[in-house]
Formats: sequence, structure tokens, C-alpha cells
Amino acid sequence: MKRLGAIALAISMAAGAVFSTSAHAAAKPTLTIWATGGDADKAVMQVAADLFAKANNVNVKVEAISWGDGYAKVLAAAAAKSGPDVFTGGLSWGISAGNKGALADLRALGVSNTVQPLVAPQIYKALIGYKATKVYAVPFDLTLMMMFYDKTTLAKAGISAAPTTIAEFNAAAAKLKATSGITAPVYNEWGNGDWLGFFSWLYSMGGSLYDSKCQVSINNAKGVAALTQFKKLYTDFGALKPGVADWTLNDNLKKGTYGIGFSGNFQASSFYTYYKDYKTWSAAPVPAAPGSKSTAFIGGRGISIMGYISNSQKSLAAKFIKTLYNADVVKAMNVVGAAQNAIFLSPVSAFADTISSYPADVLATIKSQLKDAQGPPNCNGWEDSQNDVTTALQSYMFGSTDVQTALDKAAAVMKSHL
Amino acid sequence: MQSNRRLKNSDGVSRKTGFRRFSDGGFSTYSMLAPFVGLFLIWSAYPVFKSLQMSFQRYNAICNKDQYPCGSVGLKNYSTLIMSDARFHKALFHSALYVVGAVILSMAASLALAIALQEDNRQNRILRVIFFLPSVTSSVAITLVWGWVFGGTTIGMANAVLQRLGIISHPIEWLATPVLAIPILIFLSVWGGAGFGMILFLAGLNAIPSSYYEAAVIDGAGPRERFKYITFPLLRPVMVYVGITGTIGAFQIFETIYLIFPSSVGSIGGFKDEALMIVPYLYDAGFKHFRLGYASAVAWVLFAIIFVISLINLRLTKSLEDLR
Repeated sequence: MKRLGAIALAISMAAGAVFSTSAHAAAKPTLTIWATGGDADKAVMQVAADLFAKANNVNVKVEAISWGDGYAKVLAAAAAKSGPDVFTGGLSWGISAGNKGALADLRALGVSNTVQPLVAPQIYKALIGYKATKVYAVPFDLTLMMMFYDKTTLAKAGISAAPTTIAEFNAAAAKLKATSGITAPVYNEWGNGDWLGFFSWLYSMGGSLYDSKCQVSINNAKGVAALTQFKKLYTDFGALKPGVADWTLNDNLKKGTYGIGFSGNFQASSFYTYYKDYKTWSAAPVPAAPGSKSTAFIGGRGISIMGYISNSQKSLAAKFIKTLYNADVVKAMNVVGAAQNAIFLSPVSAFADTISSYPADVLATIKSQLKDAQGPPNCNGWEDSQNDVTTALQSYMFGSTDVQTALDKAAAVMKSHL
Repeated sequence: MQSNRRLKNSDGVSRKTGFRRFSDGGFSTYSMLAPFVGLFLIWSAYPVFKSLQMSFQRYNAICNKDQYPCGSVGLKNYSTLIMSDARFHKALFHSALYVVGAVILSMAASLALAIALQEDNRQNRILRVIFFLPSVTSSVAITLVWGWVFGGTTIGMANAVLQRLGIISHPIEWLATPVLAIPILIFLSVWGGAGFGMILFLAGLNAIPSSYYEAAVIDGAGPRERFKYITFPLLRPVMVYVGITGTIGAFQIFETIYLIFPSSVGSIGGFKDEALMIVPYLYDAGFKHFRLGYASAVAWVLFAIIFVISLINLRLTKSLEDLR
């Protein structure tokens, strides 16, 4: 009997300890964040979360969700009214999910007023719907299209500097093609064969998808010139079509099989923080037409607050988001990002200097390219038009449709969604 | 008697109908059925009727009153789908091509294998297991391996083998060549499904009494006549089953396209949408764009197509039976 009593006492003590601990933990507000990307992105976000948790005596839980189904998960969470308080995701997710009624208005929570003056205006604009009165996402980080080139391979082909104009680029690619050992002068890793890859050529030729009043402008003469140029990468300069992967790309880049490539700044992370032995590769702004600025595509992730959470949670979430534009927090995120091969490029351009793992010339290119880079359009219906626009572009690039007809087809789709 | 819902059959034995017949089953019978019926109603019947209801609605599950009010749109989802959705038409056309190719070739391959391996000996038993293996292997794992075979530029296995054999001089861009998309999918379907069909046809072949063949041989029938007048007609029920289940399965193709065909930005369906079919399109509308009402309409159109094709198949078979 005594033995039974002792066991009962031990159980009740253990239970008391457990429940008092969980009650103590439950007393603290908990913020749940979904970080779209991989474990490295989660680790980078965790740094900011830990700093916020410590400073505010709250719990912050960070979970990674994949790019592939992240948007669907966010919408499913909104439908079920259960899931994260905050999430990071594609630039267009904010407008798209916000217009469905899934997200909180960041203007009403005072987030957008704090963030807008700090970040590059073109990336801020990309997250806000045209003529929208509500703000559903603010920029979290940036991904910038850049031109990478192998100095050794270019020198082998008799090219002394990175091409700056489109004419110089074509001449350089032709020379590379004629040089033995270079099987494919050009690679296209980000936006290969789709609207995203086309974007930088279009804007660097002075064109645009929509004009400033959201009237469709893709099918004008500049659009024709840009798409003709984009096609050349595949027909003349050996870029691999979408769906044809070069599984040994990294080896081939090292061997000098490629001379020039177009990719996001994540390629720089791969070159200089992960492999660390691509010293012959450097970066330059994307080539531009005479009289036009080098205008690269700028993407990245936005950060939003879910609409279904309580007002107190919304306030806490808003407070957390504001800390992401603090220099010390960004610096800490950069340190972890460098270690994880996921450089965190803050939308506050001045913070690019805190990235110590990029070579000086690459960092200078990032800073200069950021000045004139453009985000995806914020016009109505762009989200729903993307696929058909890509199909229309491909009908010229890899099919028999003529360039003007292909662009007219793309324009018709964009107009139908306005 | 009628009022008691009790009828007499031709032998004069009374039989119960309706609720009385149901209630006489006993508590234990229904309590054993209850778990299945409950789960079936919750997880199968309710979602089916809910999706039918949603197909007549503008619905995204969030249904914010100010920004995205949900509600009835009548037949608009169906009319848009059928009259003006070019992407759906493309998906439907690709699905039709795929179903015709995959079902006919799979059945032909299955029947050929069944006839070739019909004799029961050790060698044939081993070969049957080998041909059946794809049916018991994870389809996702198989698809990923095929992606590796057809992917890549110079080191994709298909290109490597064909180049080594001297059949091609330059690598083929298998997954980036639009005209190859459907044939590749058909090939994968035949490769993966022929073994299962073979087992069904073997069962059908073994059910045909050997005396029929012996009698035919005595009557002077050769192998071609025996196949035409004995094997083929008596295998018809198996063919109907394999044909209908194959058609349903082929219309439902999803993971192969999702896994091995590259998606354009924000979409699914491969390069130039050349591998887009109905279920991937449904997924795109429902889970990428969260147009759940519209996606439900796609699902019900798919159901209608499969239903009509199955009905035609059954009717044709019945007509042939009647002719005999």
C-alpha cells in the first residue's frame, strides 16, 4: 500500500511539474512563422525570430514550407483559419491572396508606413496592387537577375571585358561559340525560356509589360526586338531549352564550358559561399540597348500577416516584421545566411554592404543593378496571365509563330485579365 | 400483403423488400457495417456532393464578404469551361490523345504478354514476375527514374544509350520537345501498366476450357483461327474490364506530369503546356489559384466524360454479345 502511495505521489509531482511548465509556456504569446524555401531559409528567419523572442519575451516558432506548394498551403490555412501568423512567400502572393481576403492590411497595422521609406521603391511597388488601397505584403528579401561571366573563358575567346550593351553581348557570345572547348556560350538558369527570363531583355531595351497606367505594352516594337534577342540565346548561343537540365552545370562552369550566364544572386551564393572555388567567375549588370538602362528583373519574397488571427496577434506580428529592417537584425541574418549558402539580400539597399562573403566586384554589381531593377508588374490579372504569356512567347521562341503574332497573343491574354 | 411490403416470387415464397428487409438484418450486421458506412459518408459521399454544389459556385474556401464573396453562379463555371477556356480545351485534347494511345497499346501489350507467357513453367513464372514488378513499385519513384532517363543533355540515360549504339548523333531534348510529350507519357503508361493487364488476361485465358481448343484443332483450326474464334471472344469480359479501368486511370494521370515535365512560372503542364491534361489542369485551378468552384466543375466534366465512355463501352460489348 505504501508502495502504491509513493508511486501516486511521484506521478502527481511529475504531472504537476509538466503542467506548471506548460502553463508557464502557454502564458507567453507565440508567433508562428512560415518561411517559404528550404532549411537554410528557415535558419535565416530563425535568427530574426530568436532576437525578437528574446527582446519581447514571446515564443516564435519558424517552420519551412516549400516553394512548390507554399501558396496553396497559405490559402488552405486561411480557409481553415488555422496555421501561421506570418509567412514569407512569392512577391505576387500578397496581392493574390490578399485580394481573396486571406491577409491582414499592413497599412492599417502601421507596417507599410515604416517599411516603405526604407526599401527600394520599385520593389515596394511590385507588392502593392495597382490603385490598391490596402497593402498585404511588404518586401522581405530580394533576388536579383545578374549576368555572370567567366573571366578566363572570355579571355580565351579574346574578350577583355564583360559586355555592357546588347551588341557587345552578341559579339561576345559569337566569339565564345567560335572558340574551341566552349560547347555552349550562354546558360540561362533563372526564368529559362519564360517571361521572367524575357523580362530583363525587355526592360533593358526600353520596353515593358505594361505602361505606367497598366495598359498592355508588351507587343510594341521594343517588345519585338527584345523577344527576337531572347530567342537568339537558344537558337544562336546554345542556351538549353526549358526542360533540358545540365546536371553537371557546376562542373561545366568550373571547366569553362560556358562563358556567360544569366541567373539570380543565389548563383553568387553558390559560387562564393558554398563552393568557394569559382574565383574566375564574376558578375556584371545585364546588357542594355543603346540609350536604355540596364534593368534587371528583381524578385524575392514578401512577408504578410494572416487575416484570421486576433488583433493582439496581428500587432505582435506587425512588431516582428518591423524588426526585419533593422541593421543589426539584417547583419545577424547575413552571417547565418552566408554559413547556410542562402545569402539574405535585404530590400534595404544600404544593407547590401553587410554581406561580407561576396567579392567586392560582385557586391558592386549587385548595388548598381539594384538601382534600376524592376519588380514584376502589379497590374490586375498579371498573376493569371503569366502562364499564357510564357506559352505565347515560347510559340515564337521554340515554335513556328512569328514574333509579332506571339506578342499580340500575349497582349490579348494580359488585356483579358485586366 | 402489398401494404406489408411483402411480395411473393414465382415460386410462391414471400420475400421482404424496403425497410423491413433492412431492419431484419439484425443489430450486429448493421453495427459491423456502421464504421464503413460512416467513413464512406463522411469521406466519400459528402465530398462528392459538396464538390457538385461547389461546381455551381464562385468559391475559394476563404469567402471574404468584402473581397471575394462566394455564391452561386449557376452554370457559368461549366459554360466558361466548355465554351471559352482554351487551356482546358488543350488539356482535354491531350487527355483524349493520351487515353486512346495508352489504353489501346497497353491492352495490346498486355494481351501479347499474356499469350506469350501463358504456359505454366518456371521460366514464364519468372518473366511474369518481372513484367508485373512496375505495378507493385511506387509510381513516384518510377516516375523520378524516368525523369532521369529522359532528362539531361548529354548524360540522360536515353541519350547516352542511343548515342552509344550510334542511333542518334546529337542528344534529343526529350522533355523539351513538345511533340514528344504525349508519346513519352504513353510509353511510360504502357511500360508501367502492361504487367497488370497481363495478369488479368492470363486469368481470362486460363478460364477458357482447353476442350474448346482441342475441338478446334480436331476441326482443323490453325492458331490464327483459334485466337479469332475462341480466345478473342471469350476474353471480351476481361477486355471490357481492362479497357474501362485503363480509360479511367488514363484520364486521371497526374503525378507523371507533375514530376517529370517542367512547369512554367506559376503553372503546371510542361513546356508550352504540351503535357497539360485534365487532372493537372484541375490541380492548377484548384490548388494553385484556389478557384475551387471552377476546379470542381472540371472534376464533374471529367466524371461525365468517363461515365459516358464507360457506358458506351458497356453498351457496345452488350450489343456484340447480343449479336453472338
